Amino acid sequence: MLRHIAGRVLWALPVVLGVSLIVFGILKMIPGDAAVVVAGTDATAADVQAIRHELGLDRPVYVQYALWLGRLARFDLGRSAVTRRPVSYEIATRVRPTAELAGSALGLAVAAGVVMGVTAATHQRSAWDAIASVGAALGVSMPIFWLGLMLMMTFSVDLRWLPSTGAGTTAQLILPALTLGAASTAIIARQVRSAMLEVLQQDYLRTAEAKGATRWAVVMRHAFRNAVIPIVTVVGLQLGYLLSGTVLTETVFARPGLGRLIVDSIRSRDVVVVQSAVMVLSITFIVVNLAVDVLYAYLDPRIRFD
Amino acid sequence: MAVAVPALPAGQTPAARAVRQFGRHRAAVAGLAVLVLAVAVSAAAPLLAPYSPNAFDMSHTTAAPSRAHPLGTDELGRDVLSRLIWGGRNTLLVTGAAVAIAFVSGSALGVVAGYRGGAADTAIMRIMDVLLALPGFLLAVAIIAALGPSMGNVIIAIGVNSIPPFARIARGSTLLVREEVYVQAARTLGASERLIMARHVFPNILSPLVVEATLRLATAILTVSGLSFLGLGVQPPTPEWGAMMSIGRDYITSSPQLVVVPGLVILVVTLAFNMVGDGLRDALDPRHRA
Repeated sequence: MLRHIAGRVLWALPVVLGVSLIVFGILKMIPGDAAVVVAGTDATAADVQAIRHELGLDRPVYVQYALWLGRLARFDLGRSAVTRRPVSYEIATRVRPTAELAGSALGLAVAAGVVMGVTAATHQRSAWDAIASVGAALGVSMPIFWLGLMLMMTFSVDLRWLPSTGAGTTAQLILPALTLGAASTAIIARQVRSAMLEVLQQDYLRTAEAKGATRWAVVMRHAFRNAVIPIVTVVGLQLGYLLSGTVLTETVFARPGLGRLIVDSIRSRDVVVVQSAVMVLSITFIVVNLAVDVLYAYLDPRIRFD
Repeated sequence: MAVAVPALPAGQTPAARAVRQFGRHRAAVAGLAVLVLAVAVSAAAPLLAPYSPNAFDMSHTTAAPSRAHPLGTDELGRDVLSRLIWGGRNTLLVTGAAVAIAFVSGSALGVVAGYRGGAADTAIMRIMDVLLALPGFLLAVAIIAALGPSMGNVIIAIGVNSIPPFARIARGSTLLVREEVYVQAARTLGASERLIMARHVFPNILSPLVVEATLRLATAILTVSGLSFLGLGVQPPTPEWGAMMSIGRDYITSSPQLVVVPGLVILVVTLAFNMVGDGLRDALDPRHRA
């Protein structure tokens, strides 16, 4: 077990390095001179030269990459070309709205997805089952930004029940969380349904029923517990979608999170901020995936990695 | 040297069976009809669109639907229906091109990795692992940040971020096919590696790749319109469904149809791709047959 975890952690290191290389490489391709952007419009050639030297842009590319990695590890990411504040500050203040959004969307998706999936599986071919399957098909096909705008139109503009923008209060979190969580709810519901249907056919469930266990006990204790593994897999796969989805959701609801920071910084050509924010989200994704992997080993006693 | 193979009676070939199976999947047939219609309308845009997509009329901006403009006009007085028809052309073109790039390069990489094994396999699949370690949409956003927003760059960004699933599927299927008798026979006859990969391996792993491509089109169209919605994709004044919503957003209280309609169209087309994909999977993959 410990060896398995250690192995996974060791494997994550080259992946993080690879990701950092891609992020660094991609953003190195940006046309134009970063030093000119940082220097501003009324800088002299000498100013630009000084800034280029200060940023290390006059060094070979691989030295720049190594220096950037070193700074990344110390979370010393330089200053934003636009706000002039440290990038670490820009990111730190944006983490919370994004974490709240992704976390509540995930919670919602797991809770609603499991309830919908179990109901559909235990009431196979009923109206519930039909509604759940149509809902799942729509959920995965809906443009997330369209859903967000529709919810905003209904609940903020027409009904005036919930605020349409901003972050901080629970009321401001409801619509974005619903928007971001919808597609994942659909996918989780579908997976829960098929995993449950598979387990519900097993002989030991007939045994449980025969010995007089209540329907609830049969479904939850005997069936659901054995359907958990495929469910964890699909939840794990949703994490990347949820982290990516924050970009669109935060833009729709003007939520000051990391996703919105990335979009704004791309528009203002603030390369350092884009690079750092993309890196932070990617590392989060890798770490969470690692946690899901380790969780498997705990959940499924059949998995023994040697 | 040709060996006479007795022909299967018509209607019993695997292809005929797959077509029959697909036909039984009603949602898939409906989805296919929607896609055929969407492609036909896009192709015939110059004939069907009542107005030029860029003809503006500042005296009739954000007009409500009327007989002259069935879906109203946008903020520059352009006919929304015409922009929707022309926009479909761009949205579908970009989506299709991106998935085509991913299909071709992903399959090629996967077949090489699976067939060659060894160092090539390790190198290719480790790169795929790293690409998969980046959340998909974020990778596309980062690529656009580097290349700049344009139609061609959206194709590249989404093409690149869709490569890994094709490579994984192609590699997995190649590992199975590699050991088949017909591949061994070709090898014994002295066929080159390239010929074996192209003529014997690739055609036999096509089914799962086609299913993946169809489902990928659904994801890709959402990414294309999402990037354009963020202002990172197809740029105005070029009509594109996501880009139309991006501008329509500012008029959401007065002219909601500017956002509602393009979104609904994206939803319907995405749903169609997903249904056709599910139908193809049932028809082509015996393990998924219900």
